[in-house]
Amino acid sequence: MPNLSPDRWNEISPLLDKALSLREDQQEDWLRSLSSSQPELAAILEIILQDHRAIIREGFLEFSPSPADNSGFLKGQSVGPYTLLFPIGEGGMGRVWLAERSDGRFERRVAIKFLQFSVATRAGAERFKREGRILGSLAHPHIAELLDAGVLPDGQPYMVLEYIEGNPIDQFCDSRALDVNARIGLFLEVLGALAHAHAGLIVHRDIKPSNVLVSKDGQVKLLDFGIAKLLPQGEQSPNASLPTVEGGAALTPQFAAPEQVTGGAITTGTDVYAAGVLLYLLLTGQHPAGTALRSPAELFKAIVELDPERPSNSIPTDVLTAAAEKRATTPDRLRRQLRGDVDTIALKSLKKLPGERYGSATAFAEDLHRYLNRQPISARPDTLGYRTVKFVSRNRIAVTLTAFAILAVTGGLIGTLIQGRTARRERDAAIRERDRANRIAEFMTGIFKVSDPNETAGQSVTAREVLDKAANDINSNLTSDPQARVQLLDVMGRAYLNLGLFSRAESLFQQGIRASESSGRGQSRVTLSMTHDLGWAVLQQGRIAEAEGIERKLVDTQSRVLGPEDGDTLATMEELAFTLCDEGEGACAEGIELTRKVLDQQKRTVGPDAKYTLVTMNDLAIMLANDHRLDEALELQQDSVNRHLRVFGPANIGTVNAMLNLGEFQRDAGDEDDAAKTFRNLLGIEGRFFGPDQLETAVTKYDLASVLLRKGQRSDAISLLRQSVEHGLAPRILQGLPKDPLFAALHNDPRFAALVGTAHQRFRLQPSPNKN
Amino acid sequence: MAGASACLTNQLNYETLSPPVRSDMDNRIDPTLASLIIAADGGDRPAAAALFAALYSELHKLAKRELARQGIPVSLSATTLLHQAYLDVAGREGPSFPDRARFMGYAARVMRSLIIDHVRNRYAQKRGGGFEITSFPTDELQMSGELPELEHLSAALDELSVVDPPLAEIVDLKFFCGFSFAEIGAMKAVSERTVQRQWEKARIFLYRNIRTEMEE
Repeated sequence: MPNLSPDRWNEISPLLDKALSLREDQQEDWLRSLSSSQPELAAILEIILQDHRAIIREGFLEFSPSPADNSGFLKGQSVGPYTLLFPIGEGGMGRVWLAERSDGRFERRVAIKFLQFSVATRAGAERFKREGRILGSLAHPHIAELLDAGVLPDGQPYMVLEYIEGNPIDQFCDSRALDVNARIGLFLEVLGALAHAHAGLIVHRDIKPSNVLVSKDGQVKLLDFGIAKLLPQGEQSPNASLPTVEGGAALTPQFAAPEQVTGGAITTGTDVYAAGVLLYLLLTGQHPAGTALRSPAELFKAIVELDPERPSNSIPTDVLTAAAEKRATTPDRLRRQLRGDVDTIALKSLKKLPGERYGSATAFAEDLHRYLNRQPISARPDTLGYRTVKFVSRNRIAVTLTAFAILAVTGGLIGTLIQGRTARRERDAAIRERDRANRIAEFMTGIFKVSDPNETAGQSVTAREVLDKAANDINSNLTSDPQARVQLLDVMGRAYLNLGLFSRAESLFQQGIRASESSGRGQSRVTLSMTHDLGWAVLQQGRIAEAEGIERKLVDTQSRVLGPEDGDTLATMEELAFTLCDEGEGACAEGIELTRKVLDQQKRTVGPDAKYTLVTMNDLAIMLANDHRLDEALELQQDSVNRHLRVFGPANIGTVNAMLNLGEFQRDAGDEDDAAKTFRNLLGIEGRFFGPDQLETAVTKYDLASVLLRKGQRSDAISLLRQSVEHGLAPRILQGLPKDPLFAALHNDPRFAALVGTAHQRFRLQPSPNKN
Repeated sequence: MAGASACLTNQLNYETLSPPVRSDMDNRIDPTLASLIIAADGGDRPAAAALFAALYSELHKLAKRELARQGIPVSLSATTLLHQAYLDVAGREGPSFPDRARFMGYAARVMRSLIIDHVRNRYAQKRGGGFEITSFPTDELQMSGELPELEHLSAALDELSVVDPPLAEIVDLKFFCGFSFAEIGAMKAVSERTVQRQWEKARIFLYRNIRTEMEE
């Protein structure tokens, strides 16, 4: 066949596009149909497609002669006891050669990977060899064995690896049209390998399809375990897909976890995330960040900020049929298979915060096993907004310590980092911010590592110990960065508030406010919000007049600095209203008027159904009830419940609390039948959406018990009260139980005495939060 | 150990390279690279030649500077060099400088030339150094950076850049400069899959043309 002339090329170019988009077996059919209409072109294309197979076989132009990519190795060259045979691939971190033992002692062929960096010093070479030996100790059927690691005399580091003949896992699955369950089965082998490595505290750091091969007999093999760590800083991935400008460093972020993008701490959770991306890809063919992204900045932003689409909803309609076909199913059935548990499991592994992901590869695998065995999974979908609702009703707040406050701090700063990429000055500021966010995150993750979130029973104790340690540490740490220190004091103060440790909270807020004022930031939003929380902490310790003073002054400052209609100003006004009500009935009238003003303002600015408007409505109703204006309270509360149900539905903590308050008002107004009905409704909702240990469930049972007692149903009341005491009732309510007038009728009942004993035991396990 | 010394001699010795075209703009007021790129985009051949020379000298200078700064004879990847060059030039010429993609298109072509010169240089050294150059295998094209192959390739690429310029540019970016499909896709604002298909087409063209030429 002659040279390809320009005319000829123009003729065949579009046909070639078509041919190259087909699989090999499809190409034959296509050529046959082409040869009936254009026999001459079909003949040329046949030759060209043969050429193409030869090109792939020979690896024509596969190896760039560009300097610095180790092109210097030659066939027959010795590396340690091995002789190089021929190059077999090029990975993100260097070139790979097939090799065999020079002395012929073993038949076995190996792969030698030359890493793309130079080890300049003897110490560096020793470190590399030592790390290599650690990685070499990872023996697992699904991990490619690392046989040796060394450094050539010129500083070129290399690794000798088990040679695996196989395909990347995504290609393997597609080429065999594996269905969803078979894909999950293969993926479970990946998790098994990860769990094994994590047990030895080795993190992979670079999980992606090209590092997860499946051999012809269907065995999964993970490559390059921990190698990313061996690379010097800034050279994590020289074969960069998306180079970033800063510092000339390159990063391939398609499989990077948020903490890798923002420079946070790399843990086993990082691998859980990357494995989640891999699972997502295997199941949907899509990347969790979506396909529409072009620039690195957009991808970074998506990784750090955007919640991924549910897998079941992620496949664009134009490729859905093809995707389903590759998974041996129909589009509808594929979507149905992914919807629900698979969605939930995948999204849990892709949480932005490492602490919210599966705690381990094993936990991840267990949930997938449960899914395959049609058992209920442990991960919960994100439909309930309850964890983000900050406060609802002040007389029963006992929110346990969570990491959300920390997220609020670091999340905001990361946002700043991304926005500030362009101008140099902004970038410098952003780097400072990132450093601060990192330092805060590091500090916080450091101290929270001790507390195991799965251990609900001991949680507040652990969290308290942890906080105490942190509060001591903060005086010695972070002294060089006053702003970071202030933010931390704020976060930790709020954590103490949530635990009910008010005098400690007060002391941290005081420190924070003083530090802010001395750096001239006394009127910053964070300082003002700390002052707000300080007022609350003071009030909780019974120093009502002092709290009133703080709050009145703060309302003035906020009105001036933020404006009288700012949400923060209104929140303080509401706080002040409560404080006034605590002072006595005369003052409560002023408080009620103040709250009505806030409510009117909110109805105008954020709307009558907005979350904060409804919270204010709740508060106003509580104040009216405290002021013995129960009819007004009931009317308002019924309105609030209706709005909650309409806006948020029943599975919402705001709705639940509104109903709880309504039931209590009904009880206090003497409408026992209405109250019982409200509480029973509520128990139905809680049974569906909450666990039995949820505080709200326990309180509802407590309240229903009090109503049933009034209706003379003593045994039912005691049985409910026992459930409540044994499951989840807050220490503060447990503590008050023996003297609670609601249960005065039971005070001589031996069953009640037994209950108080149980409460006392539980109470001892969770020491009084009020005794600092 | 033979392997180690081979490795070292294969490092690109930028010191020994000199621009093929003596820039006649030395010591004069340089037209900016930006204006040259715009003129070359418009089909101005002398401007394209001047741009080539200017970029060659730019990359050469930069490579020398980087190597001097790092102090040890480390190798410097083509990709890094090009990124750095873009940052330097764009920083110097200001915000109106053409975007990275257009710059890389021209610079990659220059890089090809720089690399072939380097291999030519090394080839000369090797011949004197007792290395045996195996004859070019006609039944199996092995492109491992050896000179005869590269010269054939370069000639075939010149043909391709007449017939289908975008394909030739992809070969320069991928083969000579070491950019990945994803990077090239981002540069050209097309999908990775499209780049890959274009790359396959380019390989087919080059393979066939080199083959025919060898048979003649």
